[in-house]
Amino acid sequence: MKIDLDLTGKTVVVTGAGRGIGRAITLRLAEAGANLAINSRSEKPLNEVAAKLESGGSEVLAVPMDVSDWTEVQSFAKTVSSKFGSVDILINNAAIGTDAKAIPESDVEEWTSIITVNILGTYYMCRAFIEHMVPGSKIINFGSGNGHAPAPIRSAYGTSKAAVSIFSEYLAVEVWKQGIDVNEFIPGPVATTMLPMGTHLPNEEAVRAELANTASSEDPSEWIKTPEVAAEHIAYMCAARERGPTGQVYSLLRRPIRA
Amino acid sequence: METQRLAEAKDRNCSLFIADLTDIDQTIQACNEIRARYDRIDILINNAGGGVERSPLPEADIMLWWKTIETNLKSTAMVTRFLHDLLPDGGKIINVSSGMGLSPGSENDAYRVAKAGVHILTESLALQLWDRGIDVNNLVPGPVATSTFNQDDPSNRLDPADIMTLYEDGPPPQFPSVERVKHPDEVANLALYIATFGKGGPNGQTFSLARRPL
Repeated sequence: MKIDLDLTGKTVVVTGAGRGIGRAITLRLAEAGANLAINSRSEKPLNEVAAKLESGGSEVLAVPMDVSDWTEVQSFAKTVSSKFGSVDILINNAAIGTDAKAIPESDVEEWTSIITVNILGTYYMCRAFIEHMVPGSKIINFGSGNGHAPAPIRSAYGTSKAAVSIFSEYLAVEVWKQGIDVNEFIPGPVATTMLPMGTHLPNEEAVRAELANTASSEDPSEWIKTPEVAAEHIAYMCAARERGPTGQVYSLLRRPIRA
Repeated sequence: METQRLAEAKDRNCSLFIADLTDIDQTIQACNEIRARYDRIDILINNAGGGVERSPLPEADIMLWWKTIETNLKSTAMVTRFLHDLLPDGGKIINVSSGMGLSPGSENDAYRVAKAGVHILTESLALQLWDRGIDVNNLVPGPVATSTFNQDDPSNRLDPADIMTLYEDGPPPQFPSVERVKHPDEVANLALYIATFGKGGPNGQTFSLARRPL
């Protein structure tokens, strides 16, 4: 079902917008009329997304930067607010998760960097942008089923997403009086380069061609979605009225979280 | 009957089946009547429920306490048991639950226990039915402007808009102050959203309109 969404004149910030779900969200919300402030670590894919938005007539600010660097996040927030004024929707999609080792064999540097990008990146973005958000604004943080129940060899990713989950609940109960709603979104398996079953494939197009719209080989009850399907659910969450749900978990998983 | 009239005003068929869903014989009979009229059910929404006994267990009328369990949990279980085979590949079951089913409290414990049961039943059904292509999810509405708001004074017949105006600045004291009293249409829209997911949509999940962490 295509969501009826009008974001004309609204400003949306999307992290990790260069590819995958972040890119699909950016394109979907631009279609709804939003101004977009986007970031990613790599410049090339980000600029491609920005060029696509501009050719569609959207107002875009694209800044290559690292969400786990507090100084860079502060300067991004300053740039965004001076270009667009207030921010209406903040979508913390940027994440990494390449650990594939059990804790006893884990690479300490890699483990540390996954935790740092996923939870500190989300915290820094919220910390820097909330002062630019007005009543009726929304924050959507990306969680994961791995953050609610353990899956072997995903400890860094799962632990970081568990932290994002409780962080989102804390933020929700702290900012509801300011009229800011904060929710967690769990996309489930999506055909991107972050899909564990697709790591042997060279790029997102290859993952999509081979795995999108198929059952997951890890769990046959799961279905690998396209980024556009996940983005459409973000559109649904963005369409919520002021003082809508807050502190909730919106999940597209197909297996009960505790099962 | 009012619901039927409104549906028919939109040129839709709407059949009424009258039954007390805490009563097994009445429920079986109603389900048999439904089967006689329809050979397929695309969407089953187990919405019937309510709190009959709100007092805590130590003071509760145990028969009313038990009746609350039956109104919410037995009804959902029985209707699902007697109709699930009519759901096709792509069918949806939506069980209306409550945030109370996920948290203990100093009152309303019968309702909490019943809705906790609905939560686990939903998740279990999700595991049992996914390979038939049937998705089962919980819907948590939070406070909604319905007739329960007229209970304190039965002479009140406020409609949803009146109730929402009354509680514009905050909900009545039985709800956490963070909550907003919603229009029933907001819940209906969420049910519609869940019910119209395509293949690979969510299953065994909880969709909530509450404004506090569950």
